[in-house]
Amino acid sequence: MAELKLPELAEGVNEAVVSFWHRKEGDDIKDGDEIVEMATDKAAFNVPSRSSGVLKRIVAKEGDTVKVGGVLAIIE
Amino acid sequence: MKRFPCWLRRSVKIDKGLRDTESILKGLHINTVCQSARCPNIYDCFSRRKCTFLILGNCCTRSCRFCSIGGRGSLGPPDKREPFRIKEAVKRLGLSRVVITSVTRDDLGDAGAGHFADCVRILRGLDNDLDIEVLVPDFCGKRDLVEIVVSAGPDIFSHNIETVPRLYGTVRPGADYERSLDVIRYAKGLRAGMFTKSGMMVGFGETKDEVYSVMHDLRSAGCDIITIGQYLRPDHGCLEVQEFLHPSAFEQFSRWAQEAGFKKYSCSPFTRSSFIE
Repeated sequence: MAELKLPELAEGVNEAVVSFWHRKEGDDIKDGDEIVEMATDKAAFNVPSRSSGVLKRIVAKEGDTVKVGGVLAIIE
Repeated sequence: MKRFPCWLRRSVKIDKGLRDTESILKGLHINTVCQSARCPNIYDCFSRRKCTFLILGNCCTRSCRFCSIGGRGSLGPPDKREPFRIKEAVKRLGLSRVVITSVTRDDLGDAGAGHFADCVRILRGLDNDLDIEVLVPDFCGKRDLVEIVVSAGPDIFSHNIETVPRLYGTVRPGADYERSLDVIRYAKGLRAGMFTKSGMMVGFGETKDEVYSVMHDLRSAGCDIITIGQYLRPDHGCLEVQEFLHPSAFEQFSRWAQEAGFKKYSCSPFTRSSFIE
């Protein structure tokens, strides 16, 4: 089981809002697939998965604010 | 929640290059506009070990409404060791092209012009072939300060016009459109072989005709290179984006730039004055 976390972003950015899930629970995920779009005030960016498996559970819903290091989803 | 249009999304690329760049900069206590302004291109640039140095501190004496680099910290005298630290960073990052910009320092007698010149001269000592660009503030229009910077011999003298004249009051209070044009015109006149460059942001509510006029004003002032990019609000305290211009609008700006005779131009949503796509 792997947690997809909001990676430590460039300095000065401590949190971001989930704006769109590209994938849904149950989807097969490959390492490097872009899973979720996050947004800060200034920009939107896609977060890639760093593991392969099945997207077991979406932890942070669209609209949720997540801190750096916070769990976005569980991939199993 | 409201999403950014599809052409304004980037991918997070966190690799060794990005972390190396961050650690080199941190170790040398160097500010970059990339970090201070939360540039969305930072992943692209830092992973390729590219950055734009921000000198003279991280605290600005102007309060432009598009910029989040504000009054935090204290204004001190220029750090005489800073040019040497930048030289070391250039070496460690392996840069062949350097862009140096600054906060605006109206509090200093020379508005920081001498410090810019020091940086250029010290970097020249590192490598004569180094391509050096300075992106300077308007120096309150003082021509002798422009001379100080130009005489140090940068390859590119850049000063951003930022927006159309009608919106200066809201976007860039404290600056003056004609004064900024004059800075470019005067610099070009001092050394014709030096490239001059200017950048502007769109999305503040300007019309395309106004953008067209600015391009022609810049050309008339002797500006060689132009950059046009989408304004993105760095934080809640800054001006709201009025419009996300479609990429086709930027293609039109590119055609206009070519027709106007700019030697080089970059017009795209993510174009920044030191990020040319």
